[in-house]
Amino acid sequence: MLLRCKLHGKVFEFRDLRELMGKANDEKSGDRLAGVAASSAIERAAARYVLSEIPLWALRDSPAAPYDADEVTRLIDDAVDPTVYAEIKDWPVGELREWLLRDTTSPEAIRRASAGMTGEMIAGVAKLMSNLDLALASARLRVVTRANTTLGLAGTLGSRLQPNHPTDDPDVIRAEILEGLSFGCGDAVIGINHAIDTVDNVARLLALTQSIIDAEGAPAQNCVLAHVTTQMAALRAGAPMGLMFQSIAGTERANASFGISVGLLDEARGLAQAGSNVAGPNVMYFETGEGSELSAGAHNGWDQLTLEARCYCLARRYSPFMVNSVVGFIGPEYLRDARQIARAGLEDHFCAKLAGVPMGVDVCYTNHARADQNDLESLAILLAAAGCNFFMGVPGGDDPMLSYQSTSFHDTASLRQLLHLRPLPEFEQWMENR
Amino acid sequence: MSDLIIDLPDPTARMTARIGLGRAGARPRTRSQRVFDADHAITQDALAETVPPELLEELGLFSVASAAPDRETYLLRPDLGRRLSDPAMETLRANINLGADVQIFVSDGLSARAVTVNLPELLPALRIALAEQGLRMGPPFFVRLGRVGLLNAVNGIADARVVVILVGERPGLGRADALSAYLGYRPQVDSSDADREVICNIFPGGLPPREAALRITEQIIGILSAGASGVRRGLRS
Repeated sequence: MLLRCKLHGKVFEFRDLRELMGKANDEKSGDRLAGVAASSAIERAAARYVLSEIPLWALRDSPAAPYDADEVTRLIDDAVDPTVYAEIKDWPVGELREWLLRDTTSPEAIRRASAGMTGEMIAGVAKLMSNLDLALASARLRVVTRANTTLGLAGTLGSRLQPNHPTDDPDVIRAEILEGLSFGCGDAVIGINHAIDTVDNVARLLALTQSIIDAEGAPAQNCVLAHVTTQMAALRAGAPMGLMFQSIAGTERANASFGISVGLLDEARGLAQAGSNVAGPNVMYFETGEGSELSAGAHNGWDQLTLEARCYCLARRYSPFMVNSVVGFIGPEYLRDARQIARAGLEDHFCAKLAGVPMGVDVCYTNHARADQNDLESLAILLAAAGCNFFMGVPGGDDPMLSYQSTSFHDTASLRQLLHLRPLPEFEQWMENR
Repeated sequence: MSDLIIDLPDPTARMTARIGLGRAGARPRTRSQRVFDADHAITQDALAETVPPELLEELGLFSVASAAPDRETYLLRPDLGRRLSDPAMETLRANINLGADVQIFVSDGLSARAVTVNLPELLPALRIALAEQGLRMGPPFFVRLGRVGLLNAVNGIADARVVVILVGERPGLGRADALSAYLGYRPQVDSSDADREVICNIFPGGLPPREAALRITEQIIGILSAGASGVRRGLRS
């Protein structure tokens, strides 16, 4: 394989697709930390130029982890639809970009083509897209799912109510939920990041949230974002559960560092399908975030966007109700500042939608990243315009349990007003009837 | 026109949930937004602070640096914060007595203010509590821009039985004075988080420094009697 081009009189050559994909990325501190980033702006431009001519089959044939050694690769590759793949495999990545953006390409055609794509192809095309490309292409790709509410319809914006508390105080959590509901938050899920990691406590928090949902008659679902094995134990013990949650990563080894495998996720979903109390067919909730593979030392020399796109191809196996990346949470060594966080947020959302995953984003930042509330609000507007399925609703935007800032109840209401978006239909009906 | 006098009380207070903020249309009330602004500002300022050298001197700490040359590099290269600079290794070799029962060191980490606020009470109380237990303590010192993984590097030189780093936590909104203590039994090159124990939220409104000193001492005794720390101690006990 020869990967070479000439730009401004200078010749650039790349060893393999791994090097090319890393150098084609927008500037991110995590890629620099991994040693895979371009060393100059012109080298980055050269990598993108070469990438634009790479046929899709080459990306399938060069997965970020070897087929024989990685179950995520196997799962994704085995799920590729051979008929669809045969139709698209010779397209250069640059042509895929244009096809996605063309007025004559229908969302249905994109959904069909998606079945022939791997994470590497999806990440490849994202690298060639500008921020507005990403927003425009994403906005056409609706992914609609159903639990007790219907998430992802055009013209709607959902909200995860996130009533966290540093000691899981039930009175404070109850007050947070009631205030969130009064702002129209919680239609995607009422989901708690718990502080006390025991089966009993997870069951107690599930019972608490369910009792509020029942008392208010709200069409909503609950979730406690514990490790999947803890939730499984709580569900087996009879706790009322809407959605089953897990953080996932893009390689088998990174998932092992989370204490999960495809087999375990299969089992969790089976249990949730049998035991969840939601009406619709979608019962899983996943979180992702660029950089988790490098953080686990399981990135195999690949860039964080490619690994992230693989997460979405893993997620689609489980037809989740909702997925989001926690885009600014990981810290400045992976995403240094507001500009990198914004870019990653738009990329993650696009990649997930192209993979066919019902994507929201936790638009957020930690205090040691170079970002502030204005940056967060700007990215939320961009993503809402791009058709993002949901955002977090954190009281006052300050999560004292996880020590980071995210979108607030107020932000959800504001974005709906600004962009003429509605709450999820069942939930809006309930609000109107109150 | 009379003189305009504005003299406002301090509206910031520790909150565990920012509820009841009110609204102006869909946006927060002005006062709520100003409190958020102030809380964010105090956190940002804390990130830029350094520990005053006079304080370290008063507490009898000598000072060295991690391999991170400046704060920006420290943020972007976590690996450098886990290593000692070459001069630091020389200084430690010259100043540390090998084989102490307990080697304590301090680092600003992500919050110098956590050190400035808590150390003047915490360190003397720790010295007393450890002495009462008859434990030999190596000379404590300060490492600028360190991370928890320094436990391994420090013990490569100190060869102590238990090593403790007192390090500034990542600041939360409006709260930048929380310190954590990470403890390890004979940390080695490849020791990981699973081998460590932590006592966090040490600050006057959380776990007060004097109480923390007793808690840390108890934990050291537990580790010494188990001959292990972290998951290994959990499995044995």
